[in-house]
Amino acid sequence: MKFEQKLKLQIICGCFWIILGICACMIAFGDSLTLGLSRSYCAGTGGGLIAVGFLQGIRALRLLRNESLRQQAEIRFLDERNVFIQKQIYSLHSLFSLVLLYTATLWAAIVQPSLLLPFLLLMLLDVLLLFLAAIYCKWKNA
Amino acid sequence: MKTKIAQLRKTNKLSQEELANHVGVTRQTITSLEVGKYTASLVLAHKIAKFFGLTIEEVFLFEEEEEK
Repeated sequence: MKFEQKLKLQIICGCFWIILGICACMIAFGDSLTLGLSRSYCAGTGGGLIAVGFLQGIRALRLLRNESLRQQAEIRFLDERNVFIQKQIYSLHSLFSLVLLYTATLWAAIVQPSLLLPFLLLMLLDVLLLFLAAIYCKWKNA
Repeated sequence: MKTKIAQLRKTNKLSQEELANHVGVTRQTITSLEVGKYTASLVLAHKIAKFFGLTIEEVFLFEEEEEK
């Protein structure tokens, strides 16, 4: 996918976040529909989504309109050292997420056994996802 | 990995930014390559060597100890 296409996709995603944020705000501030959710939670999430969508859209639009800025951003995006660092971060993040999940499962087993089953299921799902990712990567690089 | 990039760049009176723009990477990557903190991929090594009109072996000094 070309960088310009990625930027266009980011604009579409930005619009989607804004629409989702507006919906969340409508739920938060509307009288009739609350779906049992906390108003402050909905309003906060909605506001956050609108802000993220707005910033993402503005950034992508700015880059699409400015050729030199776009070239710089493209170099930063495609730079192999940046990609390498990004992969290292993802790998570390995944490792820490797994450690946190296992710790939470252990904590649930000790403190609140009623939480054990959902946590164990989550852990199994996580391991399954890891296996699927490994199979996909192996198939892709075969 | 040791490289001759800094030396070649100075000989050709090029800044890190200019070289980076020519080979399609950031200035920070060129800095990391020059100080030996980052090892270039084969594609980047080929681009840099081609840019200076040399072979990869002439730009990048591969030492067998690094293999270990």
